[in-house]
Amino acid sequence: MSFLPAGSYREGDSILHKMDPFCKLLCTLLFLTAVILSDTFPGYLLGAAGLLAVTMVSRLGLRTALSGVKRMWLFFCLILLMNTAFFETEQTWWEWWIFRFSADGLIQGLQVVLRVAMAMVLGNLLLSASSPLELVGAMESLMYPLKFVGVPIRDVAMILGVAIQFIPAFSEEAETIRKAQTARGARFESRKLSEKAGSVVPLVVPIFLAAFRRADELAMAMEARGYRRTKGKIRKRRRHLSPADGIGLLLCVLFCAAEVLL
Amino acid sequence: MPIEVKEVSCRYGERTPLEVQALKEISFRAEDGEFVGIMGHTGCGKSTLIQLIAGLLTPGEGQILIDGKDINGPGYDREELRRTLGIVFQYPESQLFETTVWRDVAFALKHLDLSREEKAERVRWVLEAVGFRMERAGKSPLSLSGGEKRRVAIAGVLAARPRILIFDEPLAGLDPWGRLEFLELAARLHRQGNTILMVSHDADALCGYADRILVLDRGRLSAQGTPEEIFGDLERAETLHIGAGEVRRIAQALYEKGRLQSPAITKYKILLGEIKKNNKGR
Amino acid sequence: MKQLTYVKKAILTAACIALCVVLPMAFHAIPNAGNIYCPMHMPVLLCGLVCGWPFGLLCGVAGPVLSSLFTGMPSMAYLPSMIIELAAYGLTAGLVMRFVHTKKTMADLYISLVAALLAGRIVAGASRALIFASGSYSMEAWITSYFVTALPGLLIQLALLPAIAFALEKARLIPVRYPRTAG
Repeated sequence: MSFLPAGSYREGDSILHKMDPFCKLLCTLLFLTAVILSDTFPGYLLGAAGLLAVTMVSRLGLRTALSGVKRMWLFFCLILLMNTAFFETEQTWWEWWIFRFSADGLIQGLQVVLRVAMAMVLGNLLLSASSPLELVGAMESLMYPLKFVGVPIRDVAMILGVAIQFIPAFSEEAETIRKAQTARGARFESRKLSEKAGSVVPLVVPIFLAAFRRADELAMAMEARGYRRTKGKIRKRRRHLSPADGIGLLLCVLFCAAEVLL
Repeated sequence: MPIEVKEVSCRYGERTPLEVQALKEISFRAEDGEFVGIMGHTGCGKSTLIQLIAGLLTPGEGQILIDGKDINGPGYDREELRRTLGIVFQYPESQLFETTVWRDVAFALKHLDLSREEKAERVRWVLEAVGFRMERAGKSPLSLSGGEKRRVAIAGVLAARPRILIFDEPLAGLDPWGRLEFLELAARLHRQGNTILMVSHDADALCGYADRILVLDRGRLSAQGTPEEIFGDLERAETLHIGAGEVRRIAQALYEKGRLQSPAITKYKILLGEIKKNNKGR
Repeated sequence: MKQLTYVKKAILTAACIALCVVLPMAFHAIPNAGNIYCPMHMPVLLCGLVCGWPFGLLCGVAGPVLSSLFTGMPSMAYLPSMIIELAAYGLTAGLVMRFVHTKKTMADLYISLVAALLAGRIVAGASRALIFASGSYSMEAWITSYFVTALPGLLIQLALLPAIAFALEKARLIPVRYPRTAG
């Protein structure tokens, strides 16, 4: 029996936690746009201040907000290097072969790193303040306009729901298969590239077989009960909005505007 | 190759809100060549216990010794455990993956020191032992019938000739003939000198074939003894949350009607014998 | 089994999305697995191959998102490019399988897989370049470096996916592409 880690969701009762998930998602996307649009020093300052404010409101703590960012240090160095060395500009410090080191490149690299870091913090805040189920519901709502382009969102929602239900069952099955094969003498790791695929087959093939078998049974049961492609009107889910949602949205819009201006 | 379980405890999901105590201070000993049945209500820790013995889980506390050696101790050769112990999980068909039956069964022999001829002989022997029709050995195991799949899966575990065999609910999903066939196979393996541990809900099966039965209740070892000792007192069996088999219940009914001298019969053949003895001339 | 019904395809897609979450965790237990196996790629590719491009596309988008939500892998920084890469996989695999019929299942699979893997890597490399760098030189450098490091992983996918597909065919869980007619 293995328990599924719940990602980074942390229970709490701050305003951020209680906010309607759909609005939360919208706000996050707006904030993200603002972050992407920023490219001046006061702009970045405003962005950082905003993130700090949200962290405080959510009572999640700086550590949660910044989790994972430190681990990316190598990647950030790479971005800095690539941008410093390859940026197209006239004023270069030093040129050699295909490398063109420049101050503009360095600044560009810094900006990218900053934007990525801020996006990560934003992501952390969203994920820590909303349960996976809430978020999937929010995404389903977000998909509503797709309905007009012919996307069967009711079916998509059903598929996502079934997928979520499958996860714990498949996880347990995978554990059992791994144990059974290990007991048979399976060694899943191997040095040579030519053997790597083969050594993992005893794990992967049975897992897929078990998953497809369950899917087959469920599909047959659904068909037997008359489930068909969904047609017709889609009832809009009733949403419970509170003033906090409105204020949050408003702030984010203002934020976006501010970034554009700065 | 005796198995010793000493004061073993096991927890799942430690330090999370979902922490669960699966086993608490279990101690028992299985002698070489014994057939031990393991019973208990759902969730009592039976699967956890056998996985611990098979070395697939590590105990939080306590030791598991096989042949006197701690399997979780430093320097213990895990490969040796794989060779000496075989475990057949519930619905073992789900472990099949190879392109032919032959290859799937031979999988367990991969890391063994055997020549090609020896391996071929081994596969042939084990497929015959489980009653699989050899002419079908070239087919994909995935296209076989349910019964054939089960045989191939069990053969896959027996191929390495482990001295200790663990079966987790082996009778699940079998029709009456399949059930009998499996029990005869288990009895045969037992007669050949192997140690058998079998988890099952089927009291008749365990009473008929096991030397001793262990009863687990909510993670603790609540009773152990011969089938007669465990099911002698029906009321006690109920408090242990295990159901008595049909043989025992028939014996009880006949005893109450005065047709038998003692109700503590758990083996089918003995029941028949006693009925004949006590009802001559009726 | 003849053709897959709409409902079957939908539920198989759900299963593949769930596998996008479960497989990376199962591989976590393998030491030294590293990035070479890319376990999340397998269900998406299979979904595209078996269920067609719309479902493959959905799997490619929903898989990484759900995985990120439930297990935290991939992390936020890689999520957008992962979504793009996997969406390209599902889409391309489905499209190519639809239009290529060489009368040999193995050939169809290989062609579709190679096309999908190429398309996915190129598109992902480009999106990463766009996000993390600018200027033409760095763009090409990003794409090529991404490609080269991904080569062993590609080979493993090419080895594993047909094996999985054939096992599923034998188990009669997916329709046989070119059934052998008697006589």
